[in-house]
Amino acid sequence: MTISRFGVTVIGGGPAGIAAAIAASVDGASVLLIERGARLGGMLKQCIHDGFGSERYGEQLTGPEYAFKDISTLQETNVVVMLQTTILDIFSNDNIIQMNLCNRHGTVIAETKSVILATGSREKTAIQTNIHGTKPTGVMTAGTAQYYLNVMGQLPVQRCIILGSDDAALITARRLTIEGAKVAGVYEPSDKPAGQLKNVSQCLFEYEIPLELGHTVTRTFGSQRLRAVELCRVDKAGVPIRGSEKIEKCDGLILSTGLIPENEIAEKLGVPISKDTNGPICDQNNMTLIGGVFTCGNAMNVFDKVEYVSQSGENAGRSASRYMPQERRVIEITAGKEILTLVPQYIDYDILFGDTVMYFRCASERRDATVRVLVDGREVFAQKYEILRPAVTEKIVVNLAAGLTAESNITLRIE
Amino acid sequence: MPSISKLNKQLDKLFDGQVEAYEENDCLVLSGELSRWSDIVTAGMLAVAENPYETVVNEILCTGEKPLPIRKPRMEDSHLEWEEPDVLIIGGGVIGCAIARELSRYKLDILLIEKENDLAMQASGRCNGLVHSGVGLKKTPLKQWYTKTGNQMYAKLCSELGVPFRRCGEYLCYTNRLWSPLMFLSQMYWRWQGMKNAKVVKGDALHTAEPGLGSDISAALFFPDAGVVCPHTLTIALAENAVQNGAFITFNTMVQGMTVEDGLITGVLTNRGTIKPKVVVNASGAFCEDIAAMAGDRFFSVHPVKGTNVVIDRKYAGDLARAAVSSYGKPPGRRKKRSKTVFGTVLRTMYGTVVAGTDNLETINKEDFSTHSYSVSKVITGCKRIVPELDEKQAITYYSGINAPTYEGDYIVSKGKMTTNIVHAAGISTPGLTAAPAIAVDIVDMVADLFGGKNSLKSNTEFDPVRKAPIRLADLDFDTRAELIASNPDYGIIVCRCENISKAEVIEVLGRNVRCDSLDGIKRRIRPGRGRCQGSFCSPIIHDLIASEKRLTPQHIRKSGSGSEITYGSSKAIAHKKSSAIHFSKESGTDKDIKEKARKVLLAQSDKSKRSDEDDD
Repeated sequence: MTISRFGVTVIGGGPAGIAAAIAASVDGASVLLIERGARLGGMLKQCIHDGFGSERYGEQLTGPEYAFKDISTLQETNVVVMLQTTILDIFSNDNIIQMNLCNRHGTVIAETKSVILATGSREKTAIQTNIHGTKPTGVMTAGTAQYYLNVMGQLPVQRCIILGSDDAALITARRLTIEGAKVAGVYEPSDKPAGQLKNVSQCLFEYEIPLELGHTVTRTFGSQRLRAVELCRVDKAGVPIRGSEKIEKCDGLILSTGLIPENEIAEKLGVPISKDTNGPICDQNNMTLIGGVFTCGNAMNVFDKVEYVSQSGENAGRSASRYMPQERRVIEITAGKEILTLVPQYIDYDILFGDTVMYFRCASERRDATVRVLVDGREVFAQKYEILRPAVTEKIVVNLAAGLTAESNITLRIE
Repeated sequence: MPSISKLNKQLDKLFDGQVEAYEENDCLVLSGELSRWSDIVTAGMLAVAENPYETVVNEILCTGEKPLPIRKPRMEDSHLEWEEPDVLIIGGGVIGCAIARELSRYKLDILLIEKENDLAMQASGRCNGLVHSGVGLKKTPLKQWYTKTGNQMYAKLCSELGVPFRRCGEYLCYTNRLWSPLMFLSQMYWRWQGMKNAKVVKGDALHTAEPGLGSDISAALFFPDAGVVCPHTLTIALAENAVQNGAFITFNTMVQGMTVEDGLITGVLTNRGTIKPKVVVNASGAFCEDIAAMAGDRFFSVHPVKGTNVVIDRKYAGDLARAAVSSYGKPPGRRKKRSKTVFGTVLRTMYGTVVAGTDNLETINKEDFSTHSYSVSKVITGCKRIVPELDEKQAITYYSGINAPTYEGDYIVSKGKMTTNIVHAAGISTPGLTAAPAIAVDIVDMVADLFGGKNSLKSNTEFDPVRKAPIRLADLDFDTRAELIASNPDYGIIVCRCENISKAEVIEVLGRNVRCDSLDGIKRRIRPGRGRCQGSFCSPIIHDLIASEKRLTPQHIRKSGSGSEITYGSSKAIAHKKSSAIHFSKESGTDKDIKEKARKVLLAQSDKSKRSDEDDD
C-alpha cells in the first residue's frame, strides 16, 4: 500500500475539475486529479453539438473539442491524473484529509491539505419526477440517451416523448431526430420552456418537433418495451389536472427534468449543503463551511453554461492552492425572495481580494429588471437587464472590498 | 354448523341468485357470473366462513373486468421435446428453487422451468426481504408452522449458500396508545400465540434501539427471531446450488397445457416442446390454480393481492429503521370492526437502504406490477404513524408485487387429490420467503413418497450444500481489496458508482451456472442500478460489458425478457436508411431573429392554451 501526499486534490475530471487542477497547479501546488471514468472531460464527452467556449476560447466548439482544449492545457502542467479511480472512503484528520482510493493498480491512500469537490451532478430519475406505472425498457434520462447515441452510436428509441425542456432536452431532441428517431413531442410542466429560446427554435421548430407547455407525464405502460405514456395537463402548482389525461403511443420516454448536484463525498466530510442550490454552502473563494474543502462546477450549483463551470473551477483551484488553516470570519449574503439561487452564500472577510464573482438565478421571469448589491444599505453594484429568466444563471462581478467591515450586511436584490 | 344451503341463502341475498355454491370432489365450488371482481372476492371470503369442506374453488366468471394478458415468452422451439425428467418443477420463485435444491440431495433428474427470463421475477423478488418470526399467523396453522420452522432454518441455509442474512428482530409497535400500560398482557397474548420469546421493550431502550420511531410510541413488542435477507440473492443462490448438484433450469418456458390420463399427468405441453415428467411440482405462485386446473386437480382458488413498497436512499436510512419495525392496529381506511393486523413495515435491508410497505389491494391481475401514486402515498401515510420522519422525497424507487393467498388464507402443501403424480406448493402468500425452506423439505417428502418412499431413492453422494458465493467488494476491507486487485485488476475498476460494484464482479456474475445476460439480471444479483441514480450512469457501461463478454452486438442486449432490447442498432445505419425523410434546412438569420421567432411561436401557443382553458371553464 502506498501513501501519497498532495497539496490539492481535485475530485472529478469534468470541466470544473480540470480547470481547478490547472489553476492550482499553475499557482504552484502539487495537485492530484481523481476521475472515476476512463477518460477526462465529464459530460462534455457526450455533448457533441457545438456552442461551447465562445467566451473562454473565442470560438464555437463542440463538447469534446472544449474538453480536448482543457485536457491539452492540463497535460502541460504537473498534475497527477488518476483515471478509473474511486474514492472508497474520505475523512479529515488534523487539517489533513485522507482518502482511500482504488483503481486497477491496487489501493492507494492519498493525503491532501485541501480538496476540491468537482463531482458534478446527476439527473432526476422517473421516480423523482413522480412517474408511475410499469418499468419497461425505453425510459431513460437525457444523459443516458446521449451516451447511447453519441458515445456508443446506438439508437435507443424510435418514437419518443421528451419530458422537460432544458437545453439538454432540446439538444437531445435534435440529436435523436438527426439520427433517425421520431420525437413525438417535448413536454414541459411549467408555462415557459426551461432552455434558451435560441435552442427552442434551432432544435425543435426547425425540425418540426412540437413543444407542449403545461404538460407532464404521469404514467408509463408496457411490460417489456415502453408502449405508451399517459400525458396530463398540470395546473400552476404543477399538479396534474384530473380528466385531462391522454395516452400517447411511444417506445421511449426521455427525462430531462433537472439536475441534482452529487455531494455524497461532501456529506461524508460533514459539509453543510444549501437547500436552494443543493450544493455545498460556500464563500467567494469556493471554500465550503469546512476549512480546506472547496466546491465548484455543477456540484456547487447547477450552471447552464460550461464557461461558468470552468471559471468556478479556476477560482476554486487558485483558492485551494493558497489555503492555510486559520480562523474564518464570514458574512452571510442576504438574498431577496426574488432570487432562487445564489452562490457564494458567504463572503470570507479575511481573504477578500479584488472582485467577487456571484452567480444567481431569479425566481420568476422579469423584464427590465435591475440587480443591486448593497453593503450596509450603500449601493456598490447595479446592473440593468432587459430580461431575467429562472432558467438562466447570471454572473455578476462586484467589488466588495471597499468599506467592508466584519459586521457589514451584504444584500442582493432584484428590482 | 356451516352448511352449503345457508351459504346459498346468503349468496342469493347478496348477488340476486347469480352465484351458486355446490360440492364437488370434496370441495366447495362457487359458480356463476358477476361483473365486479371485488364481488367475486367477497363471495369467496363468504364461502370460507360457511364451508363444511376444507377448501373453496371459486369459479365465478368476471364479466365486467378483463385481466391483463399473461406475460408470455416469445420463444417457440422444441428444445425440451421428449425430455423425461423424474421431477418437473413449475416456477422459478423462491419455493421452486428451494424445492429444486432440496431434491438435488437425491439422484433424480430434475428440471425446473420458468416462464420469465430470470428467477424471482414475481412474488419472490417483489417482497421486502423480511424473514418473519411468525407473528400474527395463528388463524392459519400451516402457514404459521412453515413460517416458524423456515425461520429457524435460515441461519444455516444462508451460511451454506453464502447469502448475507441478519437476524435483526422486529419491533411490533401498537398504534393505539391505550395499549402501552397493558403491554405485559400483550406479551402474554403473543406468547400464547406461540411466539415464545416475544418481549416488551419500553421507553428509552426502545428509542435507543430504534431512534426513528415516533416519540408517541412508548412501548413495543420485540420478536428477536425476525431477520432480513435479500430475496433475489437467496432465490438465485438456491437455484445455483441446485444446478451445482445436478438440477437443470430453463427460462422462457411456459406451461400451455397438460395431458392427463386416468389421473396421471403424461405430458406437459410448453412453448419449447412437450415434457414427459414422472412427477410434477406446482410452485407457480399466483398461477398455481391454473396449473392445478391443467392437471385436472384444482381443489383450491387464489385471489391476487397487490402490495407496493417504497425504497428510501441509504443516506437517509440510518435514522429511520435499524432493524424492522411494524405497526399493529387498525389499518387506515379499513372499516371492519375487528380487523387489527400487522401492517406497515419499515425495514432496513441487507444493503442499508430502507423499505417501507405495504398496502394490500385486491386485484384481478396476477401480473400487474405497475405502481400508482395512491398506493405510494398510502404506504407512506401508514408507515409515518410509526416512523414519522419517512419522506416520499427520499425514495429512490417503488415496486409492486402480487401475492396470491387462497381464500382460506392458509398454504396448500399437499399431494394431488384427483391427479396422483402432482404435488402442490400453492397459495404461498406472505411470508412465503420465510416458509420456503420448510415447505421444500415437506414437498420433497411427498415427491419421495410418489417414488415409493425415501428409502427407494438413491441419495446424491456428490451433493454439496455449499455454494461458492460471488465476491462482494463492498463487504471487504481495504487490504483484502488490494489483494484482489493484484490478482485481477478489474476489481479495481468501479462501474456502478452508487453501489460501488466493480467490473470484475459484473463479469463474474455473467459466467455463473444459472444464466444471466440482462441488465436487470445483473441488477438483481449484484445491485448495479439499484442505487440513487437508478442506472442512469452505469446502464450503458454494463450494456457494453454484457455485449463484449457474451459476444453479442449491442442491440441484442436486453433490460429484462424478450422484447426489452434496449437499443435498435447502429444509429448511423438506421439514419442512412431514412435520410430522405429528414431535411437539414438551416435557416439563416442572426441569433436575435431566431430568438424572436421562437418567442412568437411560444406566444401564439400560450394564447392558444389560454383559449382552450377558457373553453374548459
